[in-house]
Amino acid sequence: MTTSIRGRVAIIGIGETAHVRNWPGRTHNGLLAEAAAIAIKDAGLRQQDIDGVLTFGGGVAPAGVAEYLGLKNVTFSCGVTMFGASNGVAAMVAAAALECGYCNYALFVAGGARDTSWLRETRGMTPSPNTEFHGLYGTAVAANNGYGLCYTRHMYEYGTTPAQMARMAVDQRFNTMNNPRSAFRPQGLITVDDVLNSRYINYPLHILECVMPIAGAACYIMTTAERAKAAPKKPVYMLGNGFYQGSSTSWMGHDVLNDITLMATERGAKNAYLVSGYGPNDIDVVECYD
Amino acid sequence: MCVESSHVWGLQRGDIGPFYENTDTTYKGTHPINTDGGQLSSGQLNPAGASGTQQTMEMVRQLRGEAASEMEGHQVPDANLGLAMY
Repeated sequence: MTTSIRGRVAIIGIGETAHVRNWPGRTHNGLLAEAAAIAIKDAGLRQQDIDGVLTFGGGVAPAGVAEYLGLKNVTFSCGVTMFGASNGVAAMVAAAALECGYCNYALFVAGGARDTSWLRETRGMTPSPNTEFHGLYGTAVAANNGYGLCYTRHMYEYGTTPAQMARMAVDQRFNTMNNPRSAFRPQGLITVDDVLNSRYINYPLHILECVMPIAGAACYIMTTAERAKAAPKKPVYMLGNGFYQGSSTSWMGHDVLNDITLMATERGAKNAYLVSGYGPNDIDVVECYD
Repeated sequence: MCVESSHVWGLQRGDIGPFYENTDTTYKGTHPINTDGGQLSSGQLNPAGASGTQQTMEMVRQLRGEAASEMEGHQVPDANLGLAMY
């Protein structure tokens, strides 16, 4: 990488709604607008300051979202269809757009009412290696099937045990006890035995080790390091980022590298460290897709 | 997630089982991971490409020090550098 993004852009505002299993009466756009409004206020900005919009794309294209949010000065927008990595890749795209001067304040927003009809439509219409070759043998039928296979292989390769992995769910439940937005906070703490005695969703994954979809939305606003100095709250600077393209079935491991216990994040993380100048032992806190 | 979280703190891929067994990964612990509870415990923002975004939200809260004032607090002390993965 010849040009470094290190320290040149920052997140200056965030907005996140509550996480609610079912949220009757709330609309997709309404929840996006709620998160965006919180983030714009958090960044000390006004609607008219937002000139960059990034969304998931497809049925949630930037045009419709910008219109609903009443953003009338948008000079850059982009749909980033990267599923669970959308917000991360959007941050890379926003960084590039800010550096190029395409926009001054880039807003990413995603979420909505819990409606997965778009997913059924996409799966039914678009052939992929997953639908054409893996799905035929059952991997598309069950929830978390790919993750179950990845986990089983990890147990075989490395001797990883369900009791060890259950600690992850136990620690995260502890962490959520002071998260006011959390859907599971009211259910209280759990133990390793609770996890191991809960029913299987996909062996060896128990239900307490599987995420539950909820309604809600989240938004962040990025700007250049120069503009971030005027933000009312402490800017969070991007010191590095990294991306590595997995295969269309990389959610069940890494087909490209013929190793299902390897994820594309391993390559992505290496580049993030390289750009930032920091290493794995410098990290104070980790937030990773779960 | 066990595979993802093995890219920090010098862990190798096979280390992650014993790591979770012997390490406090809560916000009070030595190796804090998913300090808002992650998607697993707070619910996964599900619709269209939103999943993973809460990881960024929580990273910003931690690096600003704002998690200290949420309810009884879930702040990692002196959090200056974070790694978010999706």
